[in-house]
Amino acid sequence: MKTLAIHSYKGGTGKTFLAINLAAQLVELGKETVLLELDFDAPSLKTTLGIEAEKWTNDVLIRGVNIEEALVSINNFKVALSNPSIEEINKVASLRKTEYMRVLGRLLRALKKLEREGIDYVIIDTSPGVSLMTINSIAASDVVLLVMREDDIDISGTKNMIEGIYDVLGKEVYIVLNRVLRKENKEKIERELNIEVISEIRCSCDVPLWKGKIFSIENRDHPVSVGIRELSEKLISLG
Amino acid sequence: MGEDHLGVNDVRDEYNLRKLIELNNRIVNLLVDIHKKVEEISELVEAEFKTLNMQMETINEIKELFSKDEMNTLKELDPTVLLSLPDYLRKTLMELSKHEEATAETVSRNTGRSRAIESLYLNQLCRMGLARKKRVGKRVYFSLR
Repeated sequence: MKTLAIHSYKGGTGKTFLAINLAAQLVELGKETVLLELDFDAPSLKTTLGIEAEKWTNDVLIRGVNIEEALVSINNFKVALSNPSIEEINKVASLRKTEYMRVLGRLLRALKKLEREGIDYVIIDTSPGVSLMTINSIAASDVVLLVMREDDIDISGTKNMIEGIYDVLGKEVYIVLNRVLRKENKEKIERELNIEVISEIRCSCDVPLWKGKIFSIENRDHPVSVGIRELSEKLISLG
Repeated sequence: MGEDHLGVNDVRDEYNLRKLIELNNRIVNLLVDIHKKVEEISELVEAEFKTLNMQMETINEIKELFSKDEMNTLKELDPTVLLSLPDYLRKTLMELSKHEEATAETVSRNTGRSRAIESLYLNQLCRMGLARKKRVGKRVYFSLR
């Protein structure tokens, strides 16, 4: 089983969109996939996918609920959502720092359970930037996909994050350039951050119109969908 | 008369000599006992010094790994610790995190390193205050602090 963390230095890079569509495409390519939302600060999957849940990733990681109880089926893959209620967001915000080590333990045990059940890929939709939950998500992952918006890049901030977290934890990292208008920044970014840009996904005004549906499934031939499908194939070929 | 016979004085001398020999033997036995005791004390002191040296080595190892400020925060275990640990200890800590509690053998099965090495690393984590251990019969179980 491979665990992929979808992460970014800044918010609004299209992490959640990529996480959902990557999960859908991996399933299309015959891979058993689970999507975990671990963005406790600003959960958005419930609204984006338009689905309901009785148990949340919060319950799994903070209260020790079995991961299976939090999984909801959608389009051939399973997803566990973060609880978007204000009470729950406040509860997470007031967790003691030491609690996050227990959270890591529960996350690792949940992943072990999913592996035993024959899941091929777990995709973690993380919170942006550097937080204790982010460190946990990255530490528990095998591969990190660092999502950057071509029109809004903070090279020095991203570099600090790469050196301070990814390098220290020894993670395999690839950059996904999102909302690409001109294909001229790839080499510059690769050179400055010393990380391979594994995929460039075109900017499209169609994407926001498909809230509540899985874009790459509804629009299979759209360049954005093709880009994500190719990314899924590359990730599978990496083994 | 009397030259070949023991006089009263001779008998007294022999009696005194015997007494002296007995006293001498008692003194020798006491000295042997004292020597044994001194050896025991010396062994105990040597063992204490050994333990003290090991503790000093550990303290020095930890000092090398962490600055003074970080030492103070180690009492509280949070995920930022993962970023300050050397690779070999992080691997052990990550594996230990997957279990409520685990023996060195369980950890070694999943890290692919020997049981003895994992035991060493787990004990180091305990000394650093990141893990704790308990003995149940012959087995030692480690868990996160």
